[in-house]
Amino acid sequence: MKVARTLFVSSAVFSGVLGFAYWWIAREPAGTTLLAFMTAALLVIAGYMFFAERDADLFADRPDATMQQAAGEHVGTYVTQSRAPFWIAIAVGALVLGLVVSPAAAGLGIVALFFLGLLLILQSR
Amino acid sequence: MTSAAVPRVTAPERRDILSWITSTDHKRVGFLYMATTLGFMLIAGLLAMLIRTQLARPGSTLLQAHAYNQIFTLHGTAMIFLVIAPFGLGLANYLIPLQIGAPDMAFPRLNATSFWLFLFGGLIVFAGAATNEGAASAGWTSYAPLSEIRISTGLGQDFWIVGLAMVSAASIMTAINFVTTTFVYRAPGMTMWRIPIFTWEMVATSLLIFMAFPSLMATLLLLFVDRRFGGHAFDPALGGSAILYQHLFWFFGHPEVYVLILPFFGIVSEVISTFSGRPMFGYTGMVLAAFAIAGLSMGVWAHHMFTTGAVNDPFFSFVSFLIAVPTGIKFFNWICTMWGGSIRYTTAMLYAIGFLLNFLLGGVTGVMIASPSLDFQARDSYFIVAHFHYTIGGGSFFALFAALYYWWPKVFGWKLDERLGKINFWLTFVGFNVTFLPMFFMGMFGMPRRIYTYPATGPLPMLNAIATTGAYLMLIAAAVFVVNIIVSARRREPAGDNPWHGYTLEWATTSPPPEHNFERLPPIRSARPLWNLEHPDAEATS
Repeated sequence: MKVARTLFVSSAVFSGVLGFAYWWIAREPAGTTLLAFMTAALLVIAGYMFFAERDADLFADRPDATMQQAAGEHVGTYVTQSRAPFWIAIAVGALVLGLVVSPAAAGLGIVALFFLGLLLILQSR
Repeated sequence: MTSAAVPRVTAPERRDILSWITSTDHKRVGFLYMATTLGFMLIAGLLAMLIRTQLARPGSTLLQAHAYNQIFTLHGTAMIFLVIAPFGLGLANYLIPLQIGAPDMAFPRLNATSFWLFLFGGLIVFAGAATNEGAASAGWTSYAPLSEIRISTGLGQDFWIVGLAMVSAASIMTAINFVTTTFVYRAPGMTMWRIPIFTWEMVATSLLIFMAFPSLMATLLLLFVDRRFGGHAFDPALGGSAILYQHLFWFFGHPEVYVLILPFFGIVSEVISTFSGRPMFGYTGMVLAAFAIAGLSMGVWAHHMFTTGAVNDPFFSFVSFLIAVPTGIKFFNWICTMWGGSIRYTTAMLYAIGFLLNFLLGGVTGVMIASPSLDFQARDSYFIVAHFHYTIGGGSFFALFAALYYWWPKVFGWKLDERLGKINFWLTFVGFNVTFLPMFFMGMFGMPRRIYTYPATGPLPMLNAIATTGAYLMLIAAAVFVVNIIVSARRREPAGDNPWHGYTLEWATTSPPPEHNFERLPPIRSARPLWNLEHPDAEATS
């Protein structure tokens, strides 16, 4: 994870430098604000990578790791089928189209999204 | 956390329609993505033919102004948001887990949700055409106040906004999946400095999506509030700022150009490396160049706004020029990879070489208009149309076809016909250049973009007639591609697991791969695990 951490930290630093340089040269508020938000967002991810994932130890990061070494406990099964994604997209479609043409459809979309969210939580357990 | 925490895929594979709708398998989601983008490409391509037919001669009455506006808006929107960018995401969906030795994406349900949001979002954009005043007609940039409700009164513009919001959300979700999968779900031994260039380019693309797409979402939201809920964010007549719209839009819009090209840099790298029979020259340089391009692209948004007089031209000009450096490194490395290699001129390789030639012209003209003094002359003329078609059309579009010919055997288990493929390539290459090269001259002769007719005097009628001829050549090329699919599908000659002698991990599994991707993974000791497998006595290269 060292490379990933470096990537986000360096992106945040670059973004901060770019934002500062832009503010210093252009003194223009819209672009400065956008770059500041971008820096802040990257700092959040960089902070997470730096502190929460500091001790991450992946077999993938060991140049000489083998499949046998990585074999371990059975931690779960990939879901290969789920109806939720299709219906979530339908519900979001109803929500956004409802905002344009019919508030009732938008309401229906919100209710559907709520129940689909519940379904997903239950499925994930 | 260790690699042992990767869950298994155990469910049996189903083939019925419902299984496709409910599938969360990354390969099926990737396939659906790519098939959908090709469907959208067909529509957007036919719209382009209407545009070129209208412009074939001056004073044509095939289309009236409002219809023409809708058509170029839908063409641009579809090609950018629904074809080129999502094709890269779809291909990456298919390939990333295969290239890094993972059984699936990190978040399979999120992955499938992304696809369905993208599909329905795209359909909503097109559905705007069925409303009373037709589809959105303010161009793919939909600048305010042109897109505000007092000028664009129809519902089509609202459909455009909400449809693109869904597509943007889908892109962000997909980017989260790509980054998490690449960082966490690599096979043992697949260190970050061993992952294929294509996967690296997708990590850089995902980073760009994280940084740029929230700005698009904000732009769409503010525009929607302006239109439907009486906001005035972008309406100067009511205290808003049209320049703010341009800042917000291009803060997304220019990085989007690199979202449109970085995945295709990855494709070209893989194709050139395989068909030159050599590892990628300057692997580390290629990776760093991708991130340099991604980073710098976040600081060039206002070079699209030079002529507004409201931005700092020298700053944006300087950063725009800088992007040429990492892009030049990539060109250098591609050429060095081919240099001295035993090149096989397959259709995929021809498309990759076509990419290099076209993208070079697009890139060089990009450097030209990074200079404000030249940009002031070229802005909103056909010179700009030619420039971005050479980068996105001549670049990404050619790499897209390289990808189709290269990975087709992996996806289907049989190859596309090479003879028809080469006819397809040459027609596309000649057609493309006959279409878009004259557009540089149209721009220099003062033809503005987004006009549905032009004066019958001067060289414009002849140049437009040539461009339209080229467009019809490309239409014939597309027909040859369809014929190739039909002919090759009838033959269905088994291609084998590794028909091109590729060295990345996706060629280590069967064609097509099983649901869980790999029955057995080879040891990973370099960026070319299959080469190491073939040469067990040779020292690992990285």
